[in-house]
Amino acid sequence: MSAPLLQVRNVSRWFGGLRAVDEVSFNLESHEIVGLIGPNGAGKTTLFETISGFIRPTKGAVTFDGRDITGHPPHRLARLGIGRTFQIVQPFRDVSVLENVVAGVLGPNRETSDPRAEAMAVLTRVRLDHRAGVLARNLSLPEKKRLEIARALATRPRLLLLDEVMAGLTPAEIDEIMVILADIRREGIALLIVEHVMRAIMSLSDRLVVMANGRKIAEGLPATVAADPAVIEAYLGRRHHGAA
Amino acid sequence: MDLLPLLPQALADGLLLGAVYAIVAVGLTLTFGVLRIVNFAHGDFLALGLYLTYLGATWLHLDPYLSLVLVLPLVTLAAAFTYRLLIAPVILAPEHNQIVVTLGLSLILQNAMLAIFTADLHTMPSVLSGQIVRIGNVFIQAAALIASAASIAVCLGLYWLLRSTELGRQIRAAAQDRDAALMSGVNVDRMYLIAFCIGIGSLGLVAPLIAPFNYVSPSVGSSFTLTAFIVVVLGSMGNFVGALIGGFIIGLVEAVGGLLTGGSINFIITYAIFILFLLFRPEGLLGGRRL
Amino acid sequence: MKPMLALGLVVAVLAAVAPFLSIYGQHIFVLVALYGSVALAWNILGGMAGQMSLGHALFVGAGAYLSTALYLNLGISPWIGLVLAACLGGALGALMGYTVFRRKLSGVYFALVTLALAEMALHIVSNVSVLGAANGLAIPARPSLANLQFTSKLGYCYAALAVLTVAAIVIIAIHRSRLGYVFLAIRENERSAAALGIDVVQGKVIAAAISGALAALVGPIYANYVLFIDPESVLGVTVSIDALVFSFVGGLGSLFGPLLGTVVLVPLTELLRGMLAGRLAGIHLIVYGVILVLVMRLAPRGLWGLLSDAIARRRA
Repeated sequence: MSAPLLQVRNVSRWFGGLRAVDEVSFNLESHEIVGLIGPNGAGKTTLFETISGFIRPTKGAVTFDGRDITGHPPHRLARLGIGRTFQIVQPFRDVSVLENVVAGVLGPNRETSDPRAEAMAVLTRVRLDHRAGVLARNLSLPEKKRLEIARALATRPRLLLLDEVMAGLTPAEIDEIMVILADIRREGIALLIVEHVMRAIMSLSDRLVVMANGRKIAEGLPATVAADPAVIEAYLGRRHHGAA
Repeated sequence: MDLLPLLPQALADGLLLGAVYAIVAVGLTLTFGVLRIVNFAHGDFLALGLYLTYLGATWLHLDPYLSLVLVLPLVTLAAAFTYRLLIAPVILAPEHNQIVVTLGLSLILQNAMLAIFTADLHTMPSVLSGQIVRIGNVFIQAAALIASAASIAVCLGLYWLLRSTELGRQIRAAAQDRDAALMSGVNVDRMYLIAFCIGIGSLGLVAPLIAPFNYVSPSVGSSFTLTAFIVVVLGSMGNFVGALIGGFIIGLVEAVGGLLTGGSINFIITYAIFILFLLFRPEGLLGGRRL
Repeated sequence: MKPMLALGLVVAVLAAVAPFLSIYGQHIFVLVALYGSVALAWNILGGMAGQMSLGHALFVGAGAYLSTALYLNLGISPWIGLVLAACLGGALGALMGYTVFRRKLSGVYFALVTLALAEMALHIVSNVSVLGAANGLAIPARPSLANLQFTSKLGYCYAALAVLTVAAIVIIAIHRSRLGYVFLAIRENERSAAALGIDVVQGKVIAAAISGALAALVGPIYANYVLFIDPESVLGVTVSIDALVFSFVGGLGSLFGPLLGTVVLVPLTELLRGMLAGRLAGIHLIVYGVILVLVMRLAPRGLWGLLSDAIARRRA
């Protein structure tokens, strides 16, 4: 078997004395969906920002497709094939939905014959084509979440990092996103998902990586991880102390 | 020519000038630190104060020091109006819009003064004009000494107000976290108004004090605005003590620089310092914002 | 090629109308075209890429002084000066952009750096005797095409219109290309832009370079129209503020709003100036200030926004 698509090796990120991420390692194969879970403040978002290039790791290395990408700026990672969404959706508010996605098509600076048609095709994939002409600011939250996915898809990623794309959605809206994500994986795009919606992450993920207090405390099949005493302790322990 | 004997005089001039720069900059840094708004019309309120002093002298034959009782409340009132009319509506707007609104205000104030008073320079003599204090070979105008002392006193007074009073605590709360302050019952809008009025009002206090040894023209305001920006960036935006230190540094640089070069080259040095700081140390000497 | 066709049509109409204007009308024509070009150039960086400059006088002044000094001292034709001015403006813009944006400075910091750079340039030129210092440089009147000087105002109308056309072509070309989306993404949200593969720093530097080059083109034309430049008239802060005012009043996000702002405000200024006959100096700047504040309060998308809203409502 060839090298994994994404390798995270002993990655640490310190903020002053705080070890937000502490010696975390895991792999992600192409075509795989890995869920990254953990209580609030576990360091998931920091790890996410590190992998997508928005934060430099203090120590450790990240490789993508066998190439060392540690500390590369985000735009270069996007061009290599790592797409991402933001937890707080950040659409280009004052332009149309279609233009948002066209920016995604053109962003990585590769050859395209018809960016608008390509963008339209991506919008169809996330079932947002009927809203193409609307200003992005006028979308509903679930639509904005799908636009966020569409824009990242438009860059033609091989790995998509999704940061809580289901947060704040109703069960029906979550189901909709899950269908879209299943479609995306069928197209051969690997996914790394940070999510608090357990139902979704348990059914979508091939494997789970669990973090607590900056460290990886478990990794494996969803069912195995869910039964892991350390994981239960991390979640319940927090709840006992009254953390949200 | 040997410049060394002139150095003590230049240092004294620099310190006197620096104290005035400090208070002007403290007002700017206060509005920035609390309201998060960069006021490009800041110096124009100083010019307004100077013209009011001038009017007091020509119409009412008031000595600049006496006109203080009129100028301070009038400038503060102007600040309150400005806050309600222009600043409050853009307090949450994008930074570009805030800058443009204060730039627009500066255009209006500066050119209204130009239209009313023309570009002529006016002086505002006082009983103290021409009074010189001599210390060794250093000659100091009494009026300048008073203005500097008052500036430092006001700076310290404002620092005490912010640090040690309930009002100061509330202003700082509003400055640090608008939402948290709102939730804990602080009237943020009111704190913004007060901070803005204090920041501008201190100019109304300084204007009559520097009037006896300065002239006024419509462009005085923008040159003070620029200097205040330089001081504020040097001393870290929003940092009170930084503005004080920055004021003295720029005062000294201008006075000593003037001794060495003279004229317009002096500005080049000041701007060079400004640009280098903006580029290489935008957080200023002290870093962070601390009120 | 529809926008280019429309542009060609507009330019043809303007060129056809210019000879029939009065001398005064032609004077206004030249001013609008020159100020409009600076505003359009400003808008590439300030509006399209969202980086507000308070120092575009630096580019206009650099262009004016470069071509004038080369002509007066070395006898180099202002036409060559014009090309060199654009190169200098582009280089200054790129250099300024690179030093500032690489350090992740934006917003008010960028505004202050640009303001300080232009002011510093003004004071430097005021001290350089080859550039006439504070007294400025007078260009002897020797009308000929080679000298970029014309016997009638009509010639200047066409020269100014040519610069304006260049600016418009560049803007349309940017808007239709990837670069247009790069600028849009940077303006709207830098983090998202980076996540989409856009090099944010590079994008801003390119915007600054193009903007600087176009603004610098105006300098030599202005200098040869007035036949006199001094630090205040081409490097002064009012040059920068004018570009900003026209752009904001016309409509920041739009491509040609800044031109609309110029078309409305410059004739208004001249009208006021004529009516007051030199009294109440600076009254037009009060008007600018009031309009600026009103636009910010009532129509943040400027006249262009008002216009397009009205058209949309008419259609609906």
